[in-house]
Amino acid sequence: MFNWYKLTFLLGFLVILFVLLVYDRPKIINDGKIELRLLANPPPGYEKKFEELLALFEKTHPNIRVKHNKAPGNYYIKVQTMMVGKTCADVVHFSGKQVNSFKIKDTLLNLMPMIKRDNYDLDDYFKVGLEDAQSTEQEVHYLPLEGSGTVLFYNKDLFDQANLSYPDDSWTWQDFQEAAIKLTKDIDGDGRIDQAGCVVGYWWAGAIPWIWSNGGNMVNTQHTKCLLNQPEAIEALNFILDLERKHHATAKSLGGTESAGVYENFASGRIGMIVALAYGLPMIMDAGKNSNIRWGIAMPPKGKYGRPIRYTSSGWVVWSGTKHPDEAWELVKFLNSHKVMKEYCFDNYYIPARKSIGLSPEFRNRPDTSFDENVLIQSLLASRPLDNIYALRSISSDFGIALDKARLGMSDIQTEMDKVVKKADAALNEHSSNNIATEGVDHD
Amino acid sequence: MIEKKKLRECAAGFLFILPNFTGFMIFTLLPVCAAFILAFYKWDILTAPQFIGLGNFTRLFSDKAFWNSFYNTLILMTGIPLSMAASLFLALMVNKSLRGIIVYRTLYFFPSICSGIGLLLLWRWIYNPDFGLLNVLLSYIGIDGPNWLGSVFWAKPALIFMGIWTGMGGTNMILYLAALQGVNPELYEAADMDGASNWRKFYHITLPMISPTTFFIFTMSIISGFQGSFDSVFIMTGGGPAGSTTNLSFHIYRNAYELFNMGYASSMALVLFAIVLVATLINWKYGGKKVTY
Repeated sequence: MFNWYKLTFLLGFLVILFVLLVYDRPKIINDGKIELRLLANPPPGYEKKFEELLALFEKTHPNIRVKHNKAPGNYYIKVQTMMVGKTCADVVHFSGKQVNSFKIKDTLLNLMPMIKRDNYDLDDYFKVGLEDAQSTEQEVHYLPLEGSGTVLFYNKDLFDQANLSYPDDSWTWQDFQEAAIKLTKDIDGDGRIDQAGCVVGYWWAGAIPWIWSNGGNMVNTQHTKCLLNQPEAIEALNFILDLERKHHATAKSLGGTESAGVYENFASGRIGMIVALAYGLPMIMDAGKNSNIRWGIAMPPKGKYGRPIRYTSSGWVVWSGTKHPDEAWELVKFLNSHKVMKEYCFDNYYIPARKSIGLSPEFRNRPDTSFDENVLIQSLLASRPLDNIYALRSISSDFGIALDKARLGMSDIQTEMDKVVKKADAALNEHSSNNIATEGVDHD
Repeated sequence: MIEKKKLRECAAGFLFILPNFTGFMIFTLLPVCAAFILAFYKWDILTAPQFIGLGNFTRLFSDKAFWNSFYNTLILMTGIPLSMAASLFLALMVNKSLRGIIVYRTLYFFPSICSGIGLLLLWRWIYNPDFGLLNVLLSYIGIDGPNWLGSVFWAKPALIFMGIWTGMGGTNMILYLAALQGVNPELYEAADMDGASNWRKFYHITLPMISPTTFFIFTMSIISGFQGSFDSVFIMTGGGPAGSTTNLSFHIYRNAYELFNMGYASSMALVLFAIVLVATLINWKYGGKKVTY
């Protein structure tokens, strides 16, 4: 009688053998070169150019081969996982505000010894870029590649239709509010807003700069007390909340989440103004390709103590577990070299981290853009990074919920901020009693 | 000789389940055990875990955000009976020998085999308050549709309705269909001879005869209700507005992967496990009494 059991077993064995034989295993190249792994997600459309840059690095450094990996999806979870598994790339593209949460866990290499050894010129960098990662005289774990301050995007056509003068340096919060109200319209008379006056940030990173602008702060200088429930902070929060609560002048009235499709809505003429980081530039330009929108940028409106401008950047770090720190440093220097940074920033409409590029006439008077690059530099010079305080990493979501509740009329902002501050103070006290360095993490 | 044959058969059986069991152990059992242990530690992934005993649990029981997410989860689970009723209704409809009935069965089953993320993004557009399909249709009958996903009041019903639509034609419908086809037709014939109406036949014959399936579906729905809906919350509302749609799974995810509180997230997962276990045992004890075999 035919033995089906043996036949099945044999077939299964043959299938496994076949798979193992034809499986395309990674080839181990033994050519004596050092292999550096780079983790970075190039901007959309820039992938090919980025590979060309890496090829150029390999050409100028014949003893090094660069293996470029990408990490789509939740980038920092992947980076963490790779670090825990000791499989992290040697050089990683990082956001400045993320550096601290990794730095305090000794996962990033201090580049200062190599900077000093090679007399690397840090003075050419905008100071705020290094401050974004809380670099000091002794410790630099991050080199910024590009960074951005907050600007005011505005739709010139909508301003013309409403007979409003374009925003300028003299604009105050009051001017901004009046313009937002005038730009808000129910065009078809159905009782629903079709054109929103403005977009302001109803989240942690978006709201804190308004508090600064009104003379408030997130924490005291010793980082022992949260100040988000102080009068200056409450006044600032009420101002931005009233844009929606009283005047229905924000894109929240258009429905949907504010961050979904904001730049598309702006490019299609449904939003009059956006107060946001200049990172929005390539997105608006991309979204505006199919429309004839005329738009410009200006400085955000002045408050009592300045403008609501925050800074954020991205750049390079070296994993502390790298087996090739010197080679990794060479790659970082190359990626941040004058030539590469200039190409990268010019092609992607980013603001370079080097003064020699950002302050150059070539950057400030680009012929291929319709906006004034001087505003970008002006904003950058007036900006400051968010206080990245590790102890407060969980407060950003509580803050966002508090803003939501106040915006929707479920509660008043003072009551909600008192709750947030109570939790924040407890976290700050716990960390100071545990003697943990209060260094930062992203709250966005 | 018989012993040898039995041993060989046993060995063959174990070999066949070995790949699956290995995967289960590596990707399910061991991580679950690790999570149970981590619940008693403070761990941010990058540094060594620090034993804190019941510290995570004491924190959890005074954490308003956790209880808010538990409340939201319970509210989102109120769609379970509706979903089950909808699945049963569809199963009754497709349990007929009509021409082209296979086409109908396929169409109703389609949403459950479509990409989940694609469906969620589609529903996000359907719920758009300005030009979403739902509000446009409502406007034709003079109703001013709300900001579905941006309203604290409407966000949960919106997710519940979407969950019912997505799930009603799926596995539950198939299970009910199989159960309906297993009902002895002589019972209906006997009821016809006694002059029973369609409703009485449904209530006194169909429902009792499919009660084992109903019990199974209800139990599984309760378990997945406590654990699930992460993707719909993550994609469609991000837990908002004002935390009104943050459910347990999303809250656990946020603590684990956004706030790096792996130990605390593990303690919440352990509590969730306990809740699901208790709910299942209660269901087993009392729900089982309603089952007719």
